[in-house]
This record gives sequence, structure tokens and C-alpha cells, in this order.
Amino acid sequence: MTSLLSVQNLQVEFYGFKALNGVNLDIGDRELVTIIGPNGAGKSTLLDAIVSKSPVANGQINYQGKEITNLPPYQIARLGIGRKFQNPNVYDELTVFENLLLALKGSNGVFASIFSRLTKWKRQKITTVLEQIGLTESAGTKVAALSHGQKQWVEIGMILAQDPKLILLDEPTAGMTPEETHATGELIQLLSEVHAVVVIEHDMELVKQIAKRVIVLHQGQTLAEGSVQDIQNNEQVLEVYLGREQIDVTA
Amino acid sequence: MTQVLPGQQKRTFPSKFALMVGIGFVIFAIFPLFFGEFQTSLMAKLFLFGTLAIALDLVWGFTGILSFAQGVFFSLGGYAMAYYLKFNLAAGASDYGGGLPEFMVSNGLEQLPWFIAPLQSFPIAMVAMVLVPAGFAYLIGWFIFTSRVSGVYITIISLAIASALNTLFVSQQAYTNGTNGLSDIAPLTLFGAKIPLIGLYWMCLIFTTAVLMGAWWLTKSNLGLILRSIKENEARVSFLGYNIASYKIFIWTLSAGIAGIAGGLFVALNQFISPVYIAVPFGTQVVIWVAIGGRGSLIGPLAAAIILGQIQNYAEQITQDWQLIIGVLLLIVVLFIPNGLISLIPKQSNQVTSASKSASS
Amino acid sequence: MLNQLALTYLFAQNSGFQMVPIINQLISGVGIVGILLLTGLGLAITFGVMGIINLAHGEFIMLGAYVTVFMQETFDMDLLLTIPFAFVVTAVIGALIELTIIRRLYGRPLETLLATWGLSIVLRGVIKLIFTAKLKYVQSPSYLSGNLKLLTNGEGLPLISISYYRLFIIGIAIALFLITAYLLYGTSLGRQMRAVTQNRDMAKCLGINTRLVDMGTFAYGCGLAGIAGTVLSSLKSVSPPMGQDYLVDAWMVVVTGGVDKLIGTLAGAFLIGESNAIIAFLLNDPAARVIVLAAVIVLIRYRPEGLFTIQKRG
Repeated sequence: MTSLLSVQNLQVEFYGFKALNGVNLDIGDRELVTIIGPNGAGKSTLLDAIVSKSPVANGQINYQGKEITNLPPYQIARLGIGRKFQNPNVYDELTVFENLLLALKGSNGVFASIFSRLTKWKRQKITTVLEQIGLTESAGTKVAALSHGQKQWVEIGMILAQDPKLILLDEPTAGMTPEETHATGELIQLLSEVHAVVVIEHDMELVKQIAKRVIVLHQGQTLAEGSVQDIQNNEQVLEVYLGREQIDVTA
Repeated sequence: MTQVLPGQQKRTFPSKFALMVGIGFVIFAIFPLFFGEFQTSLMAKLFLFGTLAIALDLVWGFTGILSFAQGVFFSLGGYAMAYYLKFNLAAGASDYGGGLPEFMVSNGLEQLPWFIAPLQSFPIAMVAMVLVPAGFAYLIGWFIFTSRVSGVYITIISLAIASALNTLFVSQQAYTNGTNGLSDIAPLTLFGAKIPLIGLYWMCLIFTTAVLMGAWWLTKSNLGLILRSIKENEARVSFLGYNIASYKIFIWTLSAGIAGIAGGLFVALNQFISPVYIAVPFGTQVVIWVAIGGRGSLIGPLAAAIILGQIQNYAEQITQDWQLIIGVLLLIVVLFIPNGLISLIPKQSNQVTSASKSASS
Repeated sequence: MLNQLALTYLFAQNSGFQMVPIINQLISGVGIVGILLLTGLGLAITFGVMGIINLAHGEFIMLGAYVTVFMQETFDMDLLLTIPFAFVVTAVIGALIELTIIRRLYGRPLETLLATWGLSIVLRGVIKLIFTAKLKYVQSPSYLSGNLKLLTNGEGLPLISISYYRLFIIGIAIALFLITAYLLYGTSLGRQMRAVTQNRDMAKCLGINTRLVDMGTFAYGCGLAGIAGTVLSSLKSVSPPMGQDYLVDAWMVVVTGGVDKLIGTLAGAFLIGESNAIIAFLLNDPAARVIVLAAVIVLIRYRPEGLFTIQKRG
């Protein structure tokens, strides 16, 4: 079986510093993968490299059997890879509705955009997304007026509207209350039934809630891989985390 | 159930906007009947300056690209028209063989240069009026927008372009008549008859109305949404699958095309074009109209160009220091009224709630 | 003896390969380099160090020139003696402007650009109100007139020469460059300046009075423009719009060299000045200007950080 996304020996450098030093990663169709690791382990950089936000120095990224290494970001997005950033990267000056409309899957050409109309299909899709993220009431509000947690939801909503095959989520619950976090966890599980999902997460409660396969990154390399149980019992992981992170290893 | 999605854009027929524009159109259409020739001519010129401001607003107010080169595109269109009219006149007067304009003769040219000669034909001149500025803009846009250059560096490039082209047109006397520009040209004719001033006025009015409506329609489309997103955060848009460069090139080229037509009509009206309109100060004028009128509003810059032009006309009879007043006004607007004077007019639409919310946060 | 022969051969009028005009052109290029360095240096501070898009830079040059006009008209002062006055007056005006306008716009480069353009119009207008639009002329000191002869022909007529005033311009430009480099890199004040621009919040935490440093840095940049105004005032006439002539060139110098290091400004001035002179020799002046501007556009396209800056990740 070929995987949806296959990362081989990936290296990313900043000023000679190797942020990623030979990472391998395979993600199957509709698989849910959780990535954890201490600060500076290269988690966000891995996602950045996949969507071409950071240039890849060495290695290969294949998506659906085709190489996408260092393609322009918009082309990668069009292939069906959606990315949520660590800090909510949404449009403050646009309304929630407009943010979703912008992200909506469809033809992205200049002339298509001039003549595109708000079809029934689009309206329904946005209505559905608004319900999923619980912001139906705020559809006409400028995002600037929303809370931090709500902005996270808007960006998750943008991913939903984009409807990619592969969803990359970078700490989707940062700044959320425990209730919001739990709800997000449920949404992620729901998503993984239809999409492949990669989640970077710090919150171990959430990891335990959603994780099937967990990958631990450390100093730009894969340290361990397995179920939550495996990871919690892994000696090396304990060593890396011990006394340095808020991870609850005994639980 | 009618307001399930309060945030959606209404692309039903814009009755209110159309009504406003319609009333404005009628008022301005009968304007020449009550005012003299001078006012008619001035007003027509200000309409053209207004479209120039709208064209810049598309690029700057909506997309976030501040350019001082709007006058360059205006002038390229203007020169296309001016050459055509000049040749028309030269062909009529047979003093110089081959219909060569006198400045070319006095600068030692013996025949029309190949790159100007086609402008003797009316259809070619009309096409060139749009395509030369738009094509030039496309080349520049393709060159700079496909790179990682952005923000103030684009603005600096636009300064360099205006400065370089000004130098070029001033120095190539044999082809452009230098600083004197092209004057003493034939009036624009239609089917052999000279178009009267009022006809030119109406042409300018129709053109301006069309640009206003077109720009409005464009900015309300998905394109407008994408342009505003590029302005706010262009990196993010690309992760949603949009090729930012192609959007920037499109709006930049379109804006230059509009400016070119405005320049052509300006020459038909004023019978004159010179490098003054290429140089940075004129490009700056356009920036000032947009800044004072209100970036991101289409009516604002149009109104600012017309009203400031009218005031300037009278102010300059009283004071030598009109520019000083403009400078002070610009400073006040930038510091205290960033959305331009139009933002001082209260809106009564449903936008008010969200606007006040964002202002208080 | 051999040297003399070689020289005679090289500079023979009929040798086809004309060395004399080329060398003269290169020397005149050095003169341009001096002017460019002088006008670009202030901008290297306000834009390079502070990141302020200052479109009123030319007007500060103009202000400096008018200080000299005023001092000469009122006190019949020597041009050289007016330099400190030009520096102080433009620096004080710069400080006031930082305090009232620039300060409100930090972090919004395009707004700063617009505001400084408004400011430049206002400054031109105010000077016109005070001094009228009439062209003014200043007197350059008599001891700086004349030419330094570098090479003469048999009859003692100069083949290659450079005017003392050009030498003076280059000298003062380099002196100011060195002083500024020392201020920036050799003093704690300079470290504070750079600390504030690189990380304002951190600088505050370290106990730096960021507001004072901002004001001081901007004032110094304006003061440098003022000195440029004085020195350049005797080259042409002095008039309210004179600053406009220098604005685009000063920007090109700073952008070409890159803003990370002051040395970039020197390199930018040298590159633009000399290529201008060489192209002007091969073609003509307007062509040189057009080609140099086009080259700068291409340069910005491929290296927006300038030639002398370490490549950063995109």
C-alpha cells in the first residue's frame, strides 16, 4: 500500500543549524497521527517543510506518489494539503463568513474568482462548517472581535472549508478552555474519519483523547513512534522529557 | 430564516449603489448646460483624474501595493493618443514632407521611427492607448510580483520607474519633443467631424461611471475578497491555494489599462501631454487623492480628486500656497483619519455594528 | 624616464584609445560618489538603522541649504562655518518631527511613507512662505575654488584635474561616514540605537530610554542631511523644491548597498556614482540615469536586502 504522504530523510537548515535532521514519516489515508516533542524539536518546522513554508535542504516529500518537495505553497494547497498555524492565522479584517468563503475548496484562478457566484452548494458548505465550529451566530462579525479560542475555531473552520485530503494542525487547542479543548478533540476524531490528520500537540490530555499513532520528535529527528502506551513507557522519551516538560508521564 | 448568514455578501442587484450612481450621472450629465466651457473642461479633466484615483485604489486600497507610477501608465496612454492626433495635424499641413511633425524635423529625423509610425492609424492608436500601458505594467508586474519583494520595496521600485521614464521621455527629444511634450495637436474627430467639448465631457463622464461601476462590481466579487486578504496577510492566502502573484499582476495591469484610457481621453480633451505627468510629483498627486478620499472606498478617491481639483482651481487664484494646504491635509488624514475623509460620513448600513465592535476591541 | 614615455604614449591624442577622457570621467564619477554618499548617509540612519521610510529626506537637505543661505545673507558667514548651524537646526527640526509625527507611526511603514511625503510638501511650502520661491545662491569659499591639476600637457594646460570643491565634498562625506560608523559601532550610544531597532521591548527591559534614542537617532539622520544641504548648496541654486532632486538618488544608494551595515551605503554610493559616470561617458547622461535606475530595480527584484547584507531565509 502506498501512503498518502511520505517524508524521507528530510533536512531543513537555518543558518547552518539543522532544524530537521533526517526525519522519516509515513501517513496513510485517513490516518490520525499525533506529533509530540519538546520545544525546538522541529515539530512546526516539519509542517512548514511539507507546505513549503521553509525550504527543504535535503530529502524528499511525496504526496500521493508524486514529489512535492519545495513546490510553491499555493500548488501544494491545491493538491489537497491544508495547514493550520500555531497562532491563529486568520483574517482579522474579514468577517467569519468571508474567512470561510476565502478558504472554500474550488477553482482558484483569477478570472474564475471574478465570475464566481455564491452557489447553493457553497452556502450549504459554509453553513455546515459554521455549525461544526459553533460560530453560526458570529458569521457576520469581523474576526478581530473574537476571542483567541474562537479564532482558533475560525482557522479550523477554514481547514474544513478547504476540505483537504491531508490536514496539518499545529497546536489547534492553544488558548482554549478545557471544555473547548475537549470539543476540538472530538472534532479532530470526527475529521480523521474522512481526512488524514497530523496534529502537533502539547496538551497530553488531548493526546490521550485522540491519539492512535504518536511520533516523538527530538532535536530534528524521530525519537520514538507507537501508541500512547508505548510512548509513555519508552525510556528514551522519559529521559528527554523528564523534568523539562509538563508532560504527565505517570498517567 | 432570511438572516441565517449575516456575514454573507449580497450580490443581488445593488439597488442603492446603482441609484446613487444614476443620480450622480444625471446631475453631472446636465452639468455643462449650466456652467461655461471652462468649468466643463475642468470637470471632465477631474473625472479622468478621479478614475486614475480609482485605478490606484484598486491596487493600493484593496491589494496593499502603494505605487507612485500611476502617472506613468496615464502618460503612456496619453502619448499614444497625442502621437495619433499630432500625425493627424502634420498630415494635414504639408509643410513637412511625409507628415513628419515639426519637432522631429528640427531634431534631425527624416522619417517616422518604426515604433511610433503605426500610431498614425486610429484603431492602432486606440489599442495602443490601452495595451502599451497595460503591457508595460504586465511586464513590470510579472517581474516584481513573482519575487519575494513586497511592501515598501515595491513603492521604491515605482519611484524608480517614474523617475527613469521621466528622464527617458525628457531626453529623447527627437521622438518625444522633450520637456515640451506634445502640444499643438489636432482635435479628436469622429466620422470626420470634430467632437465638441460637450461630447468629450460626456465621454469622460461615461468612462468614469463605467470605471466606478466596474471597480465596484470587481471588489464585491470573490476577487475583491482575495485582494483584501492579500493586503492583510499575503503569505496565508497562498496556503489556501491561491497564486498571489497572478492576482497582483492582474489588478496591477488592469489598473494601468484604466490609467492609459484616462490618459488618452485627457489628451483628447486638453490637447497636450508632457513628461510632467510621468514624473513622481504627478504620481504623488494620485496617491494623495486616494489617501485623503479614503483607501478601500471607491467613491472617496473619486470625490477627493474632483473636489480637491475644484478647490485648487479657485484657491490658486487667491493663494500661492495651495500645495502647503494639501500637505497639511495629507498629514492630518494619515495621522488621525487613516481611512480617509469618507470614513467621517456615518454609514447607516448593517456594517455599523461590526465596525464599532472592531474599533472597541 | 620609461614612465614618462609610457605616459606620453598612453595620453597621446591620436592613439585612438582615449585615456584622458576616461580618467576624467572616472574622477567626475568620484565627485558624484561624494554627493551620493553625502545625501545617502542621513537616509542610511533614518531608514537603515530605524526603518523609517523617510520621503522628506530631500527636504532636510533643502533645510540645511537654507540655513546656509540665511547665515550668509544675515551674517555674511563663511560656508564652512555654517555647517554646524545647518546640522543643529535640521537636527532640532528632525527631533520635533519625530516627536509629533513619526513616533505615532512606528511599525506602519506605508503610513510613515505617506506622512513623510505630506511633511515634505509642508516643509517646501513653509520655506517658500519664508524665503519665497526665488532661487538663492550661496558663495562657496574662495580658498576652495580652482582645480587640482593631476596631469598637464606640454604647455601646462590641465589634462586631468579635479576641482577643490569636489575634493572637499568627498572629504566631508568620508569624514561624516567615519564619524557615523564610529558612533554606531564604537560607542554605547550606537549600541543602544541598534538595540532599540532590533528589539524595542527587550531594549526597554534593559533600561534603555527608547523614546529618547529614537528621537536622537532620527535627529542625527536629519542633521546629516542638513550638512549635505550646506555642502551641496553652492553646486546649484537653492530653492524649495531642490530636495526632490536628491530624494530618489539617495534612496537608490541606500537600497543598493543594503541597510544592515553602514558600509553598504558607501558601496552603494560608489557603485551608482561610478557606473553613472562610465555609462554617461559611453552614451550620455540621461541614458546613464535610466540604465542605473533600471539596474537598481533589477537588483531590488533579486536582492531586496541589498548587495551587502547577509542573505536571510525567505
